[in-house]
Amino acid sequence: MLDAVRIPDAKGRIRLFPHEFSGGMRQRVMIAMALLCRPKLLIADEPTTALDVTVQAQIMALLSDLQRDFGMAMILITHDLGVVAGSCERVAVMYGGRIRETGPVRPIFADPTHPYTQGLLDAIPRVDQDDEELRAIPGQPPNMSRPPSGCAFEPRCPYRREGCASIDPPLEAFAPGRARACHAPVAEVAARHMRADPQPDLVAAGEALPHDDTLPKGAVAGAGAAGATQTPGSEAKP
Amino acid sequence: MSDLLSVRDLRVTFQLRREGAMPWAAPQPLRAVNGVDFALAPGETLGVVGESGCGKSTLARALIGLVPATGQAEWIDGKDLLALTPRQMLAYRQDIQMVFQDPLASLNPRMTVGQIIAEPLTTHRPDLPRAQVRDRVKAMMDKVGLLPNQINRYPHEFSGGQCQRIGIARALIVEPKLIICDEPVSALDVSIQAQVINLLIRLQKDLGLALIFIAHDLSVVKHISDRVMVLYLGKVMETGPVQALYSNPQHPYTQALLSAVPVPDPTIETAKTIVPLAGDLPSPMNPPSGCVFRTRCPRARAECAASVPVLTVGDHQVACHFPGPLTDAEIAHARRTEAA
Repeated sequence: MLDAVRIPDAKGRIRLFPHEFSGGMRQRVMIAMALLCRPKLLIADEPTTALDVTVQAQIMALLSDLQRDFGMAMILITHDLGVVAGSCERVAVMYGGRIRETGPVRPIFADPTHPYTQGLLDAIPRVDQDDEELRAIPGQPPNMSRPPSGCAFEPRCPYRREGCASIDPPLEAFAPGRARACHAPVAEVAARHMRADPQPDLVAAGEALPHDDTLPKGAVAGAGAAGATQTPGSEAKP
Repeated sequence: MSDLLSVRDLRVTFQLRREGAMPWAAPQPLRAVNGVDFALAPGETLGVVGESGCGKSTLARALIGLVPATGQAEWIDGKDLLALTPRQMLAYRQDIQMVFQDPLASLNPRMTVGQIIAEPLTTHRPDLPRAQVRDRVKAMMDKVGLLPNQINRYPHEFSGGQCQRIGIARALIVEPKLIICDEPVSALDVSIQAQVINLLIRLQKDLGLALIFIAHDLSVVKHISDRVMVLYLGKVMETGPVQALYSNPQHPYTQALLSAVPVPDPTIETAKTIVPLAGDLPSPMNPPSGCVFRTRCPRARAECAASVPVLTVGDHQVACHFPGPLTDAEIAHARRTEAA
């Protein structure tokens, strides 16, 4: 199994202790542990967050290869939208403990229909483009020990309207394979995205309540992604 | 010399005892920063990138005197910061402030926000009346997007992004000319990260600050920097204006780093070729001879092991015997060796 996760000289290293391995090698050992029982589903929770980009690329390529060889499904939990774009077929964007938008990866990245998905995509600097100013999402993630009554994204949402603060929108399908949870109509959100109006970065920055317990990262601003090997036209990296 | 700071041949060496060695064995040197040169103009942003363990943070700590270093760091007035006594350095510490990586850990939990932000001011300007200190703290809180009426709260009452704003306010209160940011946004969520980056850019424009921005995230560095310096095992591999370095990287290491950055666009991300780097970072206790990158370089030849490549002169500098874009054949070869 250590050979399968490409640890060089696996035989000689089987007696080593974890502190004698580098970060990338430790993550390989973890993957080997998870795969020993030949699972049908692998849940990877931020598998590359603590690693350097070059090692991250190695681990993601390894996971894709193993997924193909073992024929297993994978749930990849990450905050890095670039990793999602590279190795997933479907994605579920979570905010405040609920799925806000879900669907195949390509359409979600090309035309996000939930204000939070839009905000996330606009907020990340890109290495392949020249972006002038990042459009930050104002405010803070919600405090889930006192969850808001309506939509959890309402205080930070540029499309908020009457009802958003009281009724949490249900997740509804609007296109084949795609669903979203938002009161604003699809067309309006999509049109606003094209216009790309800048949001002031400091609005409501100090409005967040004190005693704002920060949540585990995955639950607050996580983009989860589910990829199934059986899906035809796998978009996993070779 | 109009440069705000010009650093020549900066070296930081730690003496480490080898693991398992006899207690009387001579300690081994670990060269964390090994001959770094750069110049920084007033108001300019220098991004420093590299993998973990390449000496980014040590470089920052050496510049403000937290670790002993050799070499030269000439300030705009001609003084060498590294040759100053601690007492002389105090005057310059007002001009060079630092923002740390972990927002909460860098704030004293038993001090109020007002005390934290005021601390540099009371250190450097002990003569300032208390009312005036309080006014300046409040003005600074307003500037970084904190509500001035939160002045008596404690750090744990704030979120990570707000704590980083407190750290920035603390750095700005003495009106420095240079701020060294060591991974200021890597502990923050993406949406909060964008808020803090925008804040730094805005403050820099308003106040004419120079920034040394250390990060491992190449997209963030590209967004904020004027010039970028790529470090590997304590040595500069490549440095140049941000546009030139990102669009036309010359060093194989820079190319490998850039190719590994995930792009949030499925069409590009699934089609791109990653230049794989074989193996891990070599131990800095025992760096490779010649070019330190040669053990992982897809283009390494005999000459690379024999002599150390020197940084070329000019605007876009590279330290490589065989610079230039990697060919498809070289990338394919690197992929085969990595798979083997």
